[in-house]
Amino acid sequence: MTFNGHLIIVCVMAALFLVVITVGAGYSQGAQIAPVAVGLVGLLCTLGETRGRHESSDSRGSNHESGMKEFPVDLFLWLLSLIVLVVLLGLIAGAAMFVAAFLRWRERRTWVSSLATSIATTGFVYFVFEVLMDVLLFRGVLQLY
Amino acid sequence: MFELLSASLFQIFTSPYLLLTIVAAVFIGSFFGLVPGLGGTLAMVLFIPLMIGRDPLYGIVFLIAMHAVVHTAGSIPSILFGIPGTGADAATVVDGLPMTQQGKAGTALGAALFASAVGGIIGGMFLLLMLPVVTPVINLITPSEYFLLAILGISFMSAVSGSSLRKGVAVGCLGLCFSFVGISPQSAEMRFTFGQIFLWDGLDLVTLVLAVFAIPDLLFLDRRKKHTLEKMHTYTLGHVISGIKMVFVHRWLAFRTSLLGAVIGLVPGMGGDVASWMCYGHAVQSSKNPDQFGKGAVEGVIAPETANNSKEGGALIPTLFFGVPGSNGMAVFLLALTILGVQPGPGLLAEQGGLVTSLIVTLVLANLLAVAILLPASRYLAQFASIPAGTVIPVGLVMIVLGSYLSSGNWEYLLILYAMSMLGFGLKYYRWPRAPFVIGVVLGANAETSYLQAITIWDYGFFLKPLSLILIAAICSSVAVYFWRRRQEREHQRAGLHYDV
Repeated sequence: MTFNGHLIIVCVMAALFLVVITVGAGYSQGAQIAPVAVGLVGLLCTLGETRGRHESSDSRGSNHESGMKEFPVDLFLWLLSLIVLVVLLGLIAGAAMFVAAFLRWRERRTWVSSLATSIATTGFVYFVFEVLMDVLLFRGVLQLY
Repeated sequence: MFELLSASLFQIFTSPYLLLTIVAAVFIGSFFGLVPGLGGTLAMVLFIPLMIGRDPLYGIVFLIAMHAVVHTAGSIPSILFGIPGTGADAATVVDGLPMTQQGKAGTALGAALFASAVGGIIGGMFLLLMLPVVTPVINLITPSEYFLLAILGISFMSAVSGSSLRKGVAVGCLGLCFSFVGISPQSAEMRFTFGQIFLWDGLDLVTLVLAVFAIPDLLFLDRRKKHTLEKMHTYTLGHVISGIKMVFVHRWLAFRTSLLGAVIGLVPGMGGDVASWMCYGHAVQSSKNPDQFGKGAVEGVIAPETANNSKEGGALIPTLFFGVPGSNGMAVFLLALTILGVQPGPGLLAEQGGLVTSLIVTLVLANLLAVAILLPASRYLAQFASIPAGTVIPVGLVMIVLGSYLSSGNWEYLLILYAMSMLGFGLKYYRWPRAPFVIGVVLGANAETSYLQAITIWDYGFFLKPLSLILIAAICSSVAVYFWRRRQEREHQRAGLHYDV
């Protein structure tokens, strides 16, 4: 897992630099210099890390951050759900549903505690932005249809 | 000049209405700093309409006092929750959040707030001392100096790269690549926008910083729940005082970074983000224990906080005397000056010198008041850090999404936030440094634009200008210091230790 994860970071960064170089090379002469030059330097440094990965390992022989045993896939799924809810339903409704659901099903809180935290959070956001500052928060793409 | 200064002091301290205006502005500014996603620019935009028709002095004093303290209060959510309100506050997260996780929230808050006051005062003094020489100094800064200053900032990537310069440069280059998104300064063609209109103006810095710093740090709380809660119970007011003492211990660092922040603020277009990251880089570079940075070094909190506040004094110089705003906040302030009937420009000092010195007094006074209010309150504010991680994570994620949306104004940025947060988490998880990414994003556009301008005006001869040579020497020294430190570390058989930020 550790070895593969390090390689994944190297591969993702190398892929990003390759995109920058390839796409950047297609621009006019003045616009391509910086992206291509920076992309090449970045790519070389990234590829150099495939050779030097063991140097980054700590004294315990691990090269991942202490305190984290595995990549928190579930938390990223929760984050994705927040973004999907906000994009579809808007900031207030999406955030309220997310906080309540997270506390109830992931943190095993009671319904009362989950709903109270959810209402307090979104109520604060609504009061500060919509009421006090008259800022129109995102209503969600569903409202467009 | 000193007659004007004493007259301004007398006017402010003998006018209860002016003093109340400053106090109210400090409270409002602190609120805008405390809530992630608000910030000083939004505060000014919202309050400008309320100032129309009022005495220009009161309006300007209110706005500048409010804007001056936003970063002071902004350090609090950065330290307690790792959620920076702006890109400038992100530098405080790097060491502020680890301090909180180690049960040193009080020390970090005390150091950050007091350092902010020091920075604000030195920034105000800098503005005062620069008044007689303001015109020739500003005229020295041409595109070639802009470019080399940006390169100097980029050279600090080495200082924050930790044990692997290669990793730091790779991540920094990635940040630079992200700064190229948008309109090319050379040919006005769209680069890396892939047909998306929301990318035409470039990527939103706050969204990138939130993704690379705030989300990974917040998600890490999940695995440190017990650790965080146990340590929080040990917090006392004594920790806040020990934080203040740490600023005195590192007084020369505070002085240097305050001065550096004010100088960077003086250069239009550099802004607070550059100031805080450059000063963070300087703190790492000049420290005897660079391996502690990113793990809770108090110098890593002091340096960006002094710079954040001192740069306001410097930024006022081009705004007031040349009508050239150095940042978004100063652009809005410039608009406010015009609306209130004050004409910025070289003649401002001669025509309305009293107003200028009143601004300086306000800048210093607002910073002192903010600390006087926030320091006692920090004891209670720090209690927020003991909220269970299970509650902090969902609420924090909502605040981050809100901050990204408010900063960018586009829901499409939420998708970028998600994608970049995975990259940011991967970088943190596998001990790749993240600070060079932000330095690259912040300085990339500046470096490219000013390089193209300098080449057009002077061709490659701009490298031989006297000020350019001084800056080139500074850049070489910055890189040389890194290699010298690495060599020293090897000599002391400390190659096994490393620091990642």
